[in-house]
Amino acid sequence: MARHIAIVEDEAAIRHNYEDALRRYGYQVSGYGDKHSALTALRRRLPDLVIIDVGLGEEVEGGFELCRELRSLSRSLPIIFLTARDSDLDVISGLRLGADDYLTKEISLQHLVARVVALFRRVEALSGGGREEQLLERGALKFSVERMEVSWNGQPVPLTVTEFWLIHSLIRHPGHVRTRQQLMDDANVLVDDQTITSHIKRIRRKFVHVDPDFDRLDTVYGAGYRWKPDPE
Amino acid sequence: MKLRTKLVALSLLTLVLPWSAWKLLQELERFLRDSEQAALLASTRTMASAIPMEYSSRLLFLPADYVPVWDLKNLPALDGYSNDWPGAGEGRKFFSEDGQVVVRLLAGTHEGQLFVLFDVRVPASNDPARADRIHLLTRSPRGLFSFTINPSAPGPLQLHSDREDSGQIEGYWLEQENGYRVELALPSSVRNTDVSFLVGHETGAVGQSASVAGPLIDPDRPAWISLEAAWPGLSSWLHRSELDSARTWVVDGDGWVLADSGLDTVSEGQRGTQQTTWLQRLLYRGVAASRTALSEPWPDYPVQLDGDVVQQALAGEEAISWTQDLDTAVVWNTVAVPLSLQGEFQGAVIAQSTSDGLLLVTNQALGRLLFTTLAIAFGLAIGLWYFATRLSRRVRMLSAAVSQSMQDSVKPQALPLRDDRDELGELARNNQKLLRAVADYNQYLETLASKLSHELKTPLAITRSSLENLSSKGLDGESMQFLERAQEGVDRQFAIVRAMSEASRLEASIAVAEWETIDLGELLKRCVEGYRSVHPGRTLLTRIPKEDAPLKCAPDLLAQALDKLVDNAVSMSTDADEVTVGYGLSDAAYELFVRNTGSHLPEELQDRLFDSLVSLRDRPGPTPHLGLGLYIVRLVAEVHGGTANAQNLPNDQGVEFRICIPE
Repeated sequence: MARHIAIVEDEAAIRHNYEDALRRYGYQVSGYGDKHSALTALRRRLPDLVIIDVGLGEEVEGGFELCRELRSLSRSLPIIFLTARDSDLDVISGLRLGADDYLTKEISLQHLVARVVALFRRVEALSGGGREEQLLERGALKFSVERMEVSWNGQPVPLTVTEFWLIHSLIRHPGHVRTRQQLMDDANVLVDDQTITSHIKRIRRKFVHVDPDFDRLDTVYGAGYRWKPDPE
Repeated sequence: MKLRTKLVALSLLTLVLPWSAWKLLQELERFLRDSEQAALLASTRTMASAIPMEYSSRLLFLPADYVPVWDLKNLPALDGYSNDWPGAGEGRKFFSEDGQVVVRLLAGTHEGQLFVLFDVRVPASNDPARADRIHLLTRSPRGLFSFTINPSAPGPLQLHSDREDSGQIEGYWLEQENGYRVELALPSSVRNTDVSFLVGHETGAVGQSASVAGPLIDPDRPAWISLEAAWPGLSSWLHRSELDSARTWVVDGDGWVLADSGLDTVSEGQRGTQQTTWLQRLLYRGVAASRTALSEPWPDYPVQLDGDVVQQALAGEEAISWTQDLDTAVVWNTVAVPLSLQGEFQGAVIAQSTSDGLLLVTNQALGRLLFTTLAIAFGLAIGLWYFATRLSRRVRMLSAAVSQSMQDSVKPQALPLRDDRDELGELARNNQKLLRAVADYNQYLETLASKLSHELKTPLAITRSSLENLSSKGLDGESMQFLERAQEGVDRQFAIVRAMSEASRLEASIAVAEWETIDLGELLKRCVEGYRSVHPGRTLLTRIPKEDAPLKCAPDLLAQALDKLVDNAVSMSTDADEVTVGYGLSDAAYELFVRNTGSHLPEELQDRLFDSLVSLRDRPGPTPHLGLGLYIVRLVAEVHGGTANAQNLPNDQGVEFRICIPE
């Protein structure tokens, strides 16, 4: 059975375009133009994934409220924010509300689909697909590509898909500097340097939350970032 | 010229006031003087024509040679000193032929007794053989007496005449510098006494070198000198017909005083005893100096009157003079009218009024007028100065506040003087409005980019997603080509939109920036390493001092600002030019700089360079340029409490962008 994706977006043209694109990839898609209709429909039947625009018509933060309500309905429902706004504050609020990823509308449809696929893969892995895991280990870091899970010193670090791919890009060649452009390409995000910087900061904070002495994520000013290899 | 200086200069015009007062006073003084002088002259003329017959005839028949006998108020002490003689320093003068011996003869009477004083000047000499003697003859109804005064030493004299019955006369011989003085008390009464004398002065051997002076050249035929007492009758007549506050004298053809109306004709007040201050005297000199000569006062009881006025009158012309006392500022108006008897000028009537009144009137008027006008002028000047100072201070304050406000283009501070009700207050209010408008405009510009980018994103997203959907429809090759071009265009539009919102996102990220203390030099080194890899083929130099430079900052932001500056420097210059990154420490502030050769800033844009949406680039580059890069640099500098500026290096060495961050 095809997975069901709900798109809540007030701009009809965008909504239809996304719907068409996702349907082309074989998903069942329902689109909603405002918070109320979306909530009514989603309460009846929860989809497998929700893509929400932050600003919904008159309600500037309607998407955040919708996210909160949906989260109260289901703890595990994957939610992606999609918005024209891209300030750090919005990103942080969205993620704090429990969204799994935060994408700006600049993202291409292919990237969007890739993100959706990745999220489903993670959900699948979490639900215990039991498949062979591809594990990457960098000292204390354990990195499961299949499950899209990362742990540090045995403790899981909750990362969004974007963040997961950023880390993935960095640890493939420990000690090598990845420029922001490279990171963007690897993580399939088309954003600017500033957003990469705030992503990295957030990742670092998540690691520090687990281990206060974490210092592997190194900023190379003027160039980019690198994962510091384990001290020999 | 500053406003204050102008107003002060203007206030100097009020000095016209005291000046005109001064002129007025001079007129007043001249008027007073003219009227007083006319009155005095008229009275003196009248007096001259009204001298009683008795005296005019006596004047006509005055002896050819006489010495006036002065009425001594006190008995003179026989001591050779002339200080008890009223007309000391004057008297009839006799000269020797060679002019070496000068004899001054004074005669005086006190209670019928006759006194004579010889004041003899001889050439100074230490010759021990010097011999001085006086040979004196007196002729009176009592007979002819002859005295020889030839003392062996100075001191009191007791003389006997050549006649047995003459008794002795007393006297005193006083040696003094350049001569000697002999004071004698003669027994004879004044009336009808004639004297004759010879003063001899010998040096060296007897008779060898003798100078003689006096009328008694030939002992057998002496030339007699009459002793002519002052005419008390005429004096009292003068006294009786006294002129208003004027003292009058009648003098003979030689200026000898024959009659004197006396001191008491002039009241005390008019004799200048009233105190005048030096300031008043100075002022009066200022007003009347050109018409008033300074002079010593005439003696209380003059024996002989002299001076231009008297000489002129004796020559037959009426004369007027104004003189002022050196010390007391008493002003004398002296009028001399010739006495014409039988067609000849035989003497003159002299009147002198003491015009202290004039001085006082003038002074008082002068004082009041001058001080009032001066005070007014001064007060006005002070007032104007205060006003001007205050005005110029207010204008300066307003101007400073406006220029200060202009620097902070977003939040202009409240201007002073807004509550004032005058034109400056209005100016301040209007300026405030203007600044507000400018600030709003600036704010609009600063948020314009992010607002626009936000608004543009949605339609762009529609276009892009539509194009992407279209591309999956299996278009033919030509259509795909068009589609790809369209997608390329959309990508570029997205790049523009991203650049536009960068500044506003930076503002947001400033709020969450991490602050830490790092070494500035280390940060720069690492940054420049990064830039070298980003811009291969460019010469990137560093100029970093050896010392540690610990700085509490947000390194991310600082690096971002540096990115912008280096980007800017690289894109504004060619591959052959150098870019130098470094910092210096000055005045407790780090001065981060990025220099590049090969470009030049236009002067007029330097102030606005760091504003939002200001771009200098004339050549289009591969990436969009919105003029936000340097605005971001400014934001970062301001977050660190510093400033950003740009300048051309001297000698056209290129351009320097600086971020100053206080330590």
